[in-house]
Amino acid sequence: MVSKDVAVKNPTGLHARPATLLVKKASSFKSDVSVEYNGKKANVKSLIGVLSLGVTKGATITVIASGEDEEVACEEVAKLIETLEE
Amino acid sequence: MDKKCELYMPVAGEVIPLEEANNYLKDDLLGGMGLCIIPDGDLFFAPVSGEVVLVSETLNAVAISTKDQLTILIHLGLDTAKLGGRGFASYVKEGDYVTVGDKLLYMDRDYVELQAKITTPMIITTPDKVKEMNINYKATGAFVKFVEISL
Repeated sequence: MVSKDVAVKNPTGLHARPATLLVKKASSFKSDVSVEYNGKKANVKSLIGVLSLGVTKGATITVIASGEDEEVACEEVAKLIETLEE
Repeated sequence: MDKKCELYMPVAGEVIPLEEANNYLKDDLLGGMGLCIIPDGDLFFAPVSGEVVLVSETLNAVAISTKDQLTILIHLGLDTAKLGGRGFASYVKEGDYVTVGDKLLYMDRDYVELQAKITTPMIITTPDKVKEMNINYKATGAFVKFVEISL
């Protein structure tokens, strides 16, 4: 299992459109990918999981990946979150 | 004086707490602010007026953002993204403006129930905007006012 903390700089936090990008990215990996925020954990491969977290701008969340490609999964999902601009 | 936002039933059915969806989802725990509806119809209508900010590729989810920047997501069924759009249709696209009661989505419940679950979560994806939310779990009819939110 691999985890990484990421700061969410996106003005709308992890809302509608950025969430779909995240789900797409996470679903491309074999590993289970989840995100933890405020004591809640959600499966990043699930749109409703991500959106139900209500992550706002300025939040720090933890990406956790577990499985065959966990290193690259964690790295890429974290990078995507960091570079969200919408 | 708080601003108020009211949500209307998007479909006839039974309103249940969000946590009950977790029984089906196993590790996909939904800890957000919202509720679930077990729908009694195949057509889903706008629970609030606003801009459609999201229509998922798999046509099973739509999010509407109100003029007060409250965003409400309706996710038709659980585990339904894997159906790749089969059994679903959308009447709106991102950028459309809808009024309460406008047709949004269609879900073939019989088909969906074969491979997934029709339990439909409705979630506030901007919980930081909400001061208080009151849900009437006894509501059953479509277009009935059933949630009152103070912003």
